[in-house]
Amino acid sequence: MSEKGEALDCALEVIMTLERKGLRPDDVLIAERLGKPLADVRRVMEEAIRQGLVVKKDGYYELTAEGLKRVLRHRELFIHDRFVHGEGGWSAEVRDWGKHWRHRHGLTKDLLESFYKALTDLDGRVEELKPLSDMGPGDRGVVVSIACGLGAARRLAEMGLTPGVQVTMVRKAPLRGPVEVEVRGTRVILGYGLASRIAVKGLGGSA
Amino acid sequence: MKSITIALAGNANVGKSSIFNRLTGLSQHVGNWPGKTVEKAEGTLYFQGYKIEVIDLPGAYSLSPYSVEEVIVRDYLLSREADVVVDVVDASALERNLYLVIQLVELQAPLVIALNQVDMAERKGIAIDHEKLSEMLGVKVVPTVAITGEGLNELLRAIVEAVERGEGLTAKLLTYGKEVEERIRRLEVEVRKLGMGEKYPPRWVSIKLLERDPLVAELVSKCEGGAEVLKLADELARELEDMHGEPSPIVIASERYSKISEIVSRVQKVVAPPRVKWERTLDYATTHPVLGYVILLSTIAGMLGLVFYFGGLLSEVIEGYVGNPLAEVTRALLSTSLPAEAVRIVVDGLVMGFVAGLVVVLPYVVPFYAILSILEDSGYLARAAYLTDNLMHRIGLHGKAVLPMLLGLGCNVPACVGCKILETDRERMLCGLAAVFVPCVARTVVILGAVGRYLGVLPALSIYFLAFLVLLMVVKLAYRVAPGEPMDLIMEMPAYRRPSLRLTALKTWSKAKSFVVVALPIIMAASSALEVLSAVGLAEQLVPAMAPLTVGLLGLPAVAAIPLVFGFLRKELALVMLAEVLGTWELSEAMTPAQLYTFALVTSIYIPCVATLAALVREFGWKRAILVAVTTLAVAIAAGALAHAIAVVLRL
Repeated sequence: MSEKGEALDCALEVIMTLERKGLRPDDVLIAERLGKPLADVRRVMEEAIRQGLVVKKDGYYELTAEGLKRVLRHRELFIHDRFVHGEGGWSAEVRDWGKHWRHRHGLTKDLLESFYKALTDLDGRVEELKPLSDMGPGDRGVVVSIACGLGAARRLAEMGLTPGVQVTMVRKAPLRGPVEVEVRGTRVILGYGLASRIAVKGLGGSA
Repeated sequence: MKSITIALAGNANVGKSSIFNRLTGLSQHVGNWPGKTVEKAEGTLYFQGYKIEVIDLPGAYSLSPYSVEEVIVRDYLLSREADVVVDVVDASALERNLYLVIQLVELQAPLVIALNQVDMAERKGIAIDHEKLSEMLGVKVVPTVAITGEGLNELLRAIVEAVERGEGLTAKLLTYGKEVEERIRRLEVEVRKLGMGEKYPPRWVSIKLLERDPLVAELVSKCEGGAEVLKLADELARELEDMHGEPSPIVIASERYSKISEIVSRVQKVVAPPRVKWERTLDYATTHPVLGYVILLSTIAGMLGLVFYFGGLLSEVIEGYVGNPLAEVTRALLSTSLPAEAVRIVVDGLVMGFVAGLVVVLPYVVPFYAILSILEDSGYLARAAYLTDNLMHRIGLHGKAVLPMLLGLGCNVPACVGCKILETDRERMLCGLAAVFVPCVARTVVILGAVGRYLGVLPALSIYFLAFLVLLMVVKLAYRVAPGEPMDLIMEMPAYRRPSLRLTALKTWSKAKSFVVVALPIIMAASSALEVLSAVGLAEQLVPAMAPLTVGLLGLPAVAAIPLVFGFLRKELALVMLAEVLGTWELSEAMTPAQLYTFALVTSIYIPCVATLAALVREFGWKRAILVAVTTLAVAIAAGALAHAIAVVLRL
């Protein structure tokens, strides 16, 4: 993706996060959140308006339906490529994403709905998420979403791995072996495939 | 005498079976839950004028309806047979363990909590105010150390006292967060109207419905007005899902955990840095990317060595001092009064079957049970699973299956028994299927004797290779067709602890006992049946009857039917019998190299032996055992036919 497109996605995600928090974003707030000069932000936002992704009302931006769709697609694509198909990536064109998730990745209808809900509710940028399997030993993170079958999701929840819980990576077996994490005072080992479908937001490492 | 029934519930690795063994000692009886292949252990003890029946429920993390164990626990609790449910809680992992407690509270089970492994918690720097916990939950909490037996008298006293007083067993109502709680209450009002009886507390039913529990939904649908309740439950669950963006079972699980965090923050203090030095060193070494594998390989080699060295020794002793004399004595006793055929059936069938059971099964199974119990109790098994998950994943199994697979190289019987360490039914079955395809020592004898000796090392190795290829293909296929969701490894990594000799001995004894009860009759029956076959002359008729298969399909000499059929008793005997029916020990004089190869290939694939079949029956039930046996037979014939066809094409 072009640099310009990336800046645009960044800005859209910021607007969406702010909107969901009940805040009304203007140029200054967006620039502050992005940590970018005001002039750059203005330029990006003009482009966004031109593409019909946002509208400007009394100096405040609002995401259009088109804009919302773009954010969700961006997040979905990121999660799909990064978490589900992993480093090998995914090159083929996907026409019907709902079908793809259901048939290829075994997500049930309920799970799919909750997955989209999690995408909508995501606080901040999707790029901040990483698979649990990418955390290094000693790293801490918060579980954001779990993209696996209901049976495994339930089992994880029973072992204490619920969305929102803090986990610490203890160690990783070599060659994509399982990972050992500490959660709620106990240690749990998870297969690599499963760990790579658990999205966490990093909190930085401890000792 | 008045009697009390108590049931022990708890997560895996909390020392539940240690408490059970401490309480019941040698009075225990191990069997299976009716219709299930999960072990059921019961025992009795006498205390303060009461006869106390103890039932050890399978280890469970939850009461969801998705694993055999958990359904068993739940059904048992719902039957309300137990006067008291003792939830054994690992004090060193209180938060996770309270998850089950909270579900027992929801179910309104008559509850007493054994706060176990308080010593270990202390060493980890965790202090738990058990009185405060008891106050918050409204039930008795007794600190115990199962390994030493500390606190068990207090536990029994608390149970008896609570039963005598008839109160203090029902926990306080735990309320959840507003959003969930409101919906539970709304549903509860409607559920109450259904009048499902005392067994099913309306609040519990409501929570389960919100969790979309299919078993409870089915129960409710049978009630009058159930359909409306289900509809309301679905609506409410959907509301929760919309609000939280998670499937409702996950919402409820999170809710339980937030309640638990609240409790834990008030009763638990972590003071010192966790983990003891020796434990940390051992943990580090056994999971190290290099050293860990070295230790794993040595452990496995040591284990195989121990099992087969002691097994072999014991086996010889039993055969020489018990088996053979027993056969001679029976023969001498019977030959005066019975015709020769009948004597043969009794001696070579029944008695030798009994002896074979003792010789083949016991000497190997007993040390295996002991070692498995030690590995499991010490916490090493989880490390082994961690190290090998990667590799096992490639054949569609996961890390925990490594032990049974390796044991299979020695003998398939302990391998089948070892499948028990896997959690879900699906995984157990896949592992069992894989285990019987591992070429065991007896099959190695045939491979070496028929192929290695006459055709060289490489062809012999190629049979080994083919056997593993077949294993891989069959398991991969089964992985696709077996019902249930494929599960990645999700397993608790317990801290290391010293296993207790006494408990190991107790466990080994009771398991071996129950194995003998199931396996010996099957082995004796099968071996007598085969003797009857040969006594009435059917064995000779087998040769022409099976000719289309042996000669036509496999290209073997017709007489090979006999060793193939009788190899079912003991595989290593197949070679001896082959020599007998051919009338020469120089097998290469009577059979072509291709025939030798096919014979060894077929022998090393089809169902290992009657003892393995017995083990399969013990672990998986008749239906599945036969399914596995038939699968191996079909695969063996197909592989043999293919080998023959290739030989014909290549004119070998």
